[in-house]
Amino acid sequence: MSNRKKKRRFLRRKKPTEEMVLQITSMADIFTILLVFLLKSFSTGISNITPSQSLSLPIASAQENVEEALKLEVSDSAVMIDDQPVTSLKNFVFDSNDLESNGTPRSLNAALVAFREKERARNPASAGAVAETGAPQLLVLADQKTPYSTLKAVMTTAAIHGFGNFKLVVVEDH
Amino acid sequence: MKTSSRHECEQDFELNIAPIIDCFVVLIAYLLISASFISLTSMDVQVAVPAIGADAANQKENVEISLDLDQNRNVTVRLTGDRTESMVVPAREGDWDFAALRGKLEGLRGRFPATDSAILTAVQELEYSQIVRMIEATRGLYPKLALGERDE
Repeated sequence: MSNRKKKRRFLRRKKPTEEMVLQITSMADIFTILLVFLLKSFSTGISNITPSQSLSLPIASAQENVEEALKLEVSDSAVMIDDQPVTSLKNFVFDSNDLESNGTPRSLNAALVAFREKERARNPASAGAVAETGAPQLLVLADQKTPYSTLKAVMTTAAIHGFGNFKLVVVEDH
Repeated sequence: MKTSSRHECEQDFELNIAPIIDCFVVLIAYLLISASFISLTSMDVQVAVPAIGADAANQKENVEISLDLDQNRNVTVRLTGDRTESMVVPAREGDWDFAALRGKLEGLRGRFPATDSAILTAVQELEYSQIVRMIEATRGLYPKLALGERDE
């Protein structure tokens, strides 16, 4: 059969008289279930603790929930307080010019002093509350490759400025 | 007239759910993008300051337990205060011997039940991930764990 004949037969074919309707009710059902599931998992796992992209947190099977508190991040290039870089690091090592005689970084000291003063100004009753509730919390998000010396220096600096309840944030091991 | 109105009511009518589907697609895409697929937890630690020493001073027997971690994955358990002892838990197949360490710590916990705090010290270069592993291994026995400075 020649191509022309085939084409003519194709064109001559009757078009369907009834309008085709795609059945999307089942699709709507699936989407509703998906949406409910996602909304539920979104509401239970909500937290503002979002580690930086470059940060690789250690994995552990801790069971404690992460509560909202001041966030201190230690990456290979900087120490950040609430996502603001305060101290620069070079491959996890502090700049020697930035170190105080007690081994704590000067810039981090200044940032924590400023933070505490800001907190005091915002909430003057917080000084009394500390005595009642204990030292304020600090969430430590450190890269898993951070050497102990750097981690210790950062935590000692925070302890000097009144932070006592350190929470090491880790990725939950399932 | 009556017949025609009944006829109109009997006609099939279909709800247009295409815009609802559109909304769902957008919502699902947004939720999937903003969802976090890792769950974060936390571990409590302290920094070794004189306050922990003061805590220990109130105990019947003033014993301080410290765990010192070295680069070769050996752990030295030291007792200071009223008793002075030192024991080494050597590495096993190139890793920390957590089973032996737990055995030693359980023994110490039995001997000094009032001491619920310990100090963790480590070589300067030891990675944070190893510190976390050690905290995880000892947490059940010594809930008040503090990070301390190593005596070089």
